Amino acid sequence: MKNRLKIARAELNITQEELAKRIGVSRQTINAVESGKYVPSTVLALKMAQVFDKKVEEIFMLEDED
Amino acid sequence: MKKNYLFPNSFKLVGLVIFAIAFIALIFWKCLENSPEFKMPALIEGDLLGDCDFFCIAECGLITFIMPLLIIGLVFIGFSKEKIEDEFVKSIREQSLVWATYCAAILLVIFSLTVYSWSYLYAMYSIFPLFLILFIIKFRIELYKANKEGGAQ
Repeated sequence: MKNRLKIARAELNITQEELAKRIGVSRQTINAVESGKYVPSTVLALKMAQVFDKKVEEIFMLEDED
Repeated sequence: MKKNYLFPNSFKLVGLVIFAIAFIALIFWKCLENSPEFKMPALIEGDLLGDCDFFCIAECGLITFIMPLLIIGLVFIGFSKEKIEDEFVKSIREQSLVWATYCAAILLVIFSLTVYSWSYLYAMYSIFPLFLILFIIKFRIELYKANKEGGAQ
């Protein structure tokens, strides 16, 4: 699964630390999601989408191998 | 869904203190030529498949008290919440547990095939603390890696 988290974050002009604080996770978690090393749960994905005021599908997309 | 069985973060320090005390006691016990003996109420004493007593008083050494302390200390260290215990940390914890289980299983097989007599008893005795130590080391390394990668961004 790929994501547009870094772009969405840049659009909103917030750091990983700020995003992490808003949704109650560590900065390492945001970094792991951004780099594709960790696929977040539905709850976390929804929380992220809420921060960016976007639909989950606009931030997270399935890839062919998924 | 949100339920987990982890101890509060403060238990990590308690665990470290208990582990340190147990570890020093272990070295002390190893250095002693004549370890003191104690009488303790026992569920079973003797050979379970042969001649044994149930619910009796048994003689034991210092190690009887050291091992439970070691295990309690290690459990507190390994299963206390991190400052931010989120789902990513949970996944690292789970992966580390799986890895440590495999390592302990391999060690168990090796010990069973290559260690005999009293040494086998010691090896079996040490397998659970060893499993906990392997889990803690792996978990800490993976957390460190995640922190380092995060810091580089």
